[in-house]
Amino acid sequence: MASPIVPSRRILYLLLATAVVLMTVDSRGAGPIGAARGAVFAVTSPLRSVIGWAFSPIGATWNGAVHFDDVETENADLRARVAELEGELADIPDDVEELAQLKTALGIEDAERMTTVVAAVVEDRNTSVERIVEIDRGSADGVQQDMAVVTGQGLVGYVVEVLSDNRSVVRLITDGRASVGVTVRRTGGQGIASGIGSFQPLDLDLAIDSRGEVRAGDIFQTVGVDTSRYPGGIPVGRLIVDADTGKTALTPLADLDRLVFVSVILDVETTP
Amino acid sequence: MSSIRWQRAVPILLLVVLVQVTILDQHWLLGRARVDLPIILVVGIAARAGAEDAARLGFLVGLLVDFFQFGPFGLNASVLCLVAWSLAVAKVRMLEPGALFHSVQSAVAVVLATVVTWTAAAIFGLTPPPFEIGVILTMLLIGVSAAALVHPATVLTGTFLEARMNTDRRGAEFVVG
Repeated sequence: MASPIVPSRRILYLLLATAVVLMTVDSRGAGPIGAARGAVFAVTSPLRSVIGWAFSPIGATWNGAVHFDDVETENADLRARVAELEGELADIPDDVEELAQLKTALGIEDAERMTTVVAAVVEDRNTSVERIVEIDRGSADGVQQDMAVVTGQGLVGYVVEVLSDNRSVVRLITDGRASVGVTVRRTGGQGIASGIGSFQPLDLDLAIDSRGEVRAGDIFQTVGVDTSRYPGGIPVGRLIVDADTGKTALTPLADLDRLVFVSVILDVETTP
Repeated sequence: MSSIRWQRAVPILLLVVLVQVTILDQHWLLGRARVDLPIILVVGIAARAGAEDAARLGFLVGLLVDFFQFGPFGLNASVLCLVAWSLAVAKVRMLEPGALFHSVQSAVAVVLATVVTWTAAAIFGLTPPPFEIGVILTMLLIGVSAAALVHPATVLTGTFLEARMNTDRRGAEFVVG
């Protein structure tokens, strides 16, 4: 039989109020929550490793079954690309030498030298609302919050949180909370590229005086103003234009779908 | 009156969240949807716990999830707390019938909870999947995974709840059996 107990909604209100307080504290960028998060990551790291190891055969089987077609297609594309690049490779020594001679003749030095640290992506998670990329570099390597993260192809995102000596989390440029000032070298046109979600192109809001100048296929790079977390000149994306609406977007140049290694830009030395 | 065995509940819930973080967040169904164990577990909790305990456990599950995500800290705690409490209060009508009905309604509950999470996340500038035609497939996959896993989740819940609780239509809680 049932025994009656007095109900109460107080606990619900109390818990919701607690959650609101936590969100408020977090939104103000206060330290305790970041520190607590880092501590939880560190404490649970061994257990996560064990769980990951235990499930790795199942994960490998799953990936094999789900991504097999993708891998085959990608292999075919890569073979074609390798053949194409091998052809171009033959011309590079001459081009490099010619460039060096021109720079010497004109007295030009490289405008910026970047100090970077290479990091391996140790975890790439998709929650239902955000993508979380964890790298194996942290405070011990000089990584700090807001540092730009790149691959050889282009901009990846920025360090959103340094969890420990050897762990940091990267927020991708496709995240809805990320945006970057961009410019196209061909015309000097500028705009702001904003993330609208994982696996989506970047929404591009062009400056009014730049709208008529750009065309599909243009490569946009970071503007690199002083207030930006991104140094200038980093390739960001290729312009795509919707034929019906005229809406512009950028396809990220970095392969954000399969990140394996990235570089964190620790410092940018600008030569006068 | 709480029937939660905290010494069991905390490690079990932490383990479930770690499995989610370490395994399931990295393997999506048909590239669209992921099995969301924490939400399914919350539905399982709501099927057995009284409204107060469900709210407490929902909050704890959400808080653990928040530690491993980088949206507003407390977002999942508030959403899962509210979902757990709502389902526990409504379970006289929602979750008491037979096993098949229980699965179907749990699937619906998990889909609704997912939409609530997306909506709450969108308010804070996060980016849930775009509401296009493919989202129906996503919802279907989420619902199917929930229907398949809610019974094990309910059994798991039984390991850290001393008594099966229910709530009558006036909101009063009582121990079942």
